[in-house]
Amino acid sequence: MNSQFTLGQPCLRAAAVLAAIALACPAFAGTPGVYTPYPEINNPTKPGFNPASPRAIGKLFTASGWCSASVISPNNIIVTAAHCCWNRSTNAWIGGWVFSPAYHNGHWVPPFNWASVAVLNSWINNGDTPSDVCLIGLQPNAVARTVTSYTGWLGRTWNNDSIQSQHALGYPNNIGAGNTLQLCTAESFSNYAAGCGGGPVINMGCNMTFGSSGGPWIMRYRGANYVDSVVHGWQSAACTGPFGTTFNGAKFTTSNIVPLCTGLGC
Amino acid sequence: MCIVRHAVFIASGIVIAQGAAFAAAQDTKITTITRASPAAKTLAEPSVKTQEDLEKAKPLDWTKTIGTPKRVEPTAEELRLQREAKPESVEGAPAPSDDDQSAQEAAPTDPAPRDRQ
Repeated sequence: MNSQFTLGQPCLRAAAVLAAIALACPAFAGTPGVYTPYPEINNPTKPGFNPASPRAIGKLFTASGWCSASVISPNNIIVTAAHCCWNRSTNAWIGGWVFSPAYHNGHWVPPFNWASVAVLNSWINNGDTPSDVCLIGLQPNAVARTVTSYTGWLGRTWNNDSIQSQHALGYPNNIGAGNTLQLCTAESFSNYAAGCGGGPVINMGCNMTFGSSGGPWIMRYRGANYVDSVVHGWQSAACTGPFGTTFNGAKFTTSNIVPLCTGLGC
Repeated sequence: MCIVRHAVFIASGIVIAQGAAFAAAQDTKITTITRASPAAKTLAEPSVKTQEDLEKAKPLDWTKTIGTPKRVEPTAEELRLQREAKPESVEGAPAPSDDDQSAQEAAPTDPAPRDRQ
């Protein structure tokens, strides 16, 4: 009996310390404006190429300007933001989608025209941030090859906690004029204040702005490479953080990436 | 006891009905377009073949295409489903490592890229 008591005390103390750490951690998790940026070279023909950098990330040209996107299915499907596919101001498809994987001051391989596109009805009707996800199926390119034959594809994950170690990648106009792939690494977080979107909207520190739309947020980067969100943009200083130092995205959940993937056949 | 059992039965019926309604909503929640469809004929064709095309391109301005969002508050049932949802994942696959040479050979012969940093 006595030995059980003395054994129990350190365990209780350890449990109390662990509980205190667990409670304290969210206070440090995901701070607006805190991130590490660097250029990422995923084009095998360019100096500085790192073979661990996924080539499945690229630049998406559209009729309204370029966005960023990534290949997430063996069936030649890319994921980007719905605002790169459907214009809510004109209530119409944007059109002209062409994907250039591992773009770096020009195409790496002949680019890929679109074959099919899917957005959530909630994006068309409401324009809510959690619905800002779009899938695009791609045709073979001008030399009759599929995109996955060059790039492979990234994994995807959904229904995760908001606090995650993230790598966000894209082609922002404000860094490198959109000619080279840029990366931010930071911890993501949600803002549960009224009107900020709560858990389905995640934020992270990053200095990328226009052009990074639709770029993937990746958990376990250069490992399993799970895409768990795409860049939406920015809501307000109160919800997201100062513009140009923090952006937000639609966290992948059962309500967005799953029906889109089911509909387009990931 | 009988009243309690009856109440539980009614409550579970409501939950099942809400679940079915949510599942039905899930089934019809996307809009698609295919390149072969008549609607696609009205869309602009892509033009990014030459270096000049690439240099003329501008970033998409999200303030224009997002429009005015409506505030969507999740229902109690949606919040419950969010809370109870379990993380899931699908694995990716790397690029074929022996394919760099053939990819380079297939690359378009555009003019030398310009340094625009």
